[in-house]
Amino acid sequence: MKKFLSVFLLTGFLLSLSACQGESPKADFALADAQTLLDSAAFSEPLEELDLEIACSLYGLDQSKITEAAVYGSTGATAEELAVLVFTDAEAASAAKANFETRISDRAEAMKDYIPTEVPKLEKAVLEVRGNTLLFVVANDYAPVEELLK
Amino acid sequence: MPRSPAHSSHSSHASSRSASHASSRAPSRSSSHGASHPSPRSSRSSRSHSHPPLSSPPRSLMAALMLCLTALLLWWLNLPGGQGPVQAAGPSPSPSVEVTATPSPAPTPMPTPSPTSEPTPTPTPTPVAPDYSQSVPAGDAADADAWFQDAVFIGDSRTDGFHLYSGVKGGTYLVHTGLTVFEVIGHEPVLGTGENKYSVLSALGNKQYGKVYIALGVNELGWFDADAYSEAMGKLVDKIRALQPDAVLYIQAIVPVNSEVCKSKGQPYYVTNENISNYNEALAQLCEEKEVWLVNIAEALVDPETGELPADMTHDGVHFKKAGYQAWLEYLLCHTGQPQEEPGEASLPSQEPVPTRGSSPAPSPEI
Repeated sequence: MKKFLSVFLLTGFLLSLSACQGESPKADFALADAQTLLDSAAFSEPLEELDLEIACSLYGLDQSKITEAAVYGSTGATAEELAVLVFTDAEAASAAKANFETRISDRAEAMKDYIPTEVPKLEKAVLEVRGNTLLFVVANDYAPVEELLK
Repeated sequence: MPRSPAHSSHSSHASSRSASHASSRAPSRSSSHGASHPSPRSSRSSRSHSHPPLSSPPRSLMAALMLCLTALLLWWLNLPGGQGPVQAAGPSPSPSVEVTATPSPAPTPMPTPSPTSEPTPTPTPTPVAPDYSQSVPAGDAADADAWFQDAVFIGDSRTDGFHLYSGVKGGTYLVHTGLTVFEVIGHEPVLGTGENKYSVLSALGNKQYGKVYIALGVNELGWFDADAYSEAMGKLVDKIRALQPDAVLYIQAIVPVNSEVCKSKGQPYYVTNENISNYNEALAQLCEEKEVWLVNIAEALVDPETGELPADMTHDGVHFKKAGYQAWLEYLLCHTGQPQEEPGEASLPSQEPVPTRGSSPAPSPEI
């Protein structure tokens, strides 16, 4: 009985310790993540790659703050798009988040009268900053995106 | 040309002897009997002393005889092929050369020196007047890095795709998904974000451009009114000309769609190639009336056999894949409406080399 109680208490103690540690930090985004999503069922049509200069013009970004980028978009049929960006520092990545929030609202405004069925995709858009990296996704199916974010 | 030695043998014995006498006699009377013969005077004088004088012909007869011989000689000289007295030996003519009548020798006139200070007039190329009843013809490709630097594009989602995926260098894009010509001439604030929205025409008035490209019409198909569309486009042309007096206007035709893909993707019922064709017809008439270039970009994208956008060129039947936007770009670069030149009459002398047709550099566009 004593042995059983000792093991039980010890196990509880160890579990409580692990809970106090909190979640482990998630890895920053990488360009390979863009390919992972492109190869998945996240999008309803193949997306075309955008030139970085065009992408910066589209999102209002400072190209000098970006070290790596993978940006893809729809050719006009849908609101789906994807961007994985590596910035020079975390501050630049955080500042860029506002640009993408504007992008989401503008696209929703344009799509509501043009292709209303695209608006829900924009409402579920994923926009996340990790360290000096940023992920922006407007997808048809968000399951692969959620899997990537784990 | 020296006389042919054979020619003298053709003359009669009397004329040859008379010719020899005439030639020998011409320089000096005393040598009329030849060098081997003593002078008549001397021979006569010598004979007169030693022998009784022979009976000599009268002087008048001699004079007449001389006259005849001279006339004969002159006649013989003027014969065709006659070369006169034997001259210094020279190269004999080639048998293949046709011997023609030699005119009487005349002093060769000194050639008048041509004036060198005045250059020879060269034809000045005359610009061919543009024919707005036709779509802009193909020409030399413009510089892809420079041509669109002073261009502005007004359009809908197709033009947005052109901006994003064609690889175009430069240009200003006044584009909006779903844009119609009615919104543009109605000054609808469709550009910008949040509270800072503005109209296409207000943006157009902020800067002067060298070229204005317009591509509108797909989103107007639902009106089923090509005349209203054309009228609105005409008003747009007038407004753009007022804002951009020096710019060249290019109105791009509506590119047909792929009917099957449109149906499978659930495109609106009014998006049909028949409707597009009606709109394009009205557009062509407008361009001729307003004297602006119609750019038939459909030539770059449409299957000539079906008249439709190929299925492998689109995801949804209406918008193009990247390759389609790139083909659009190439078409614009080769259809700029740069003035073509044709040879003109000689006018002012040109200091520049005469340009070869088709190889001269395109002149700078009007700005």
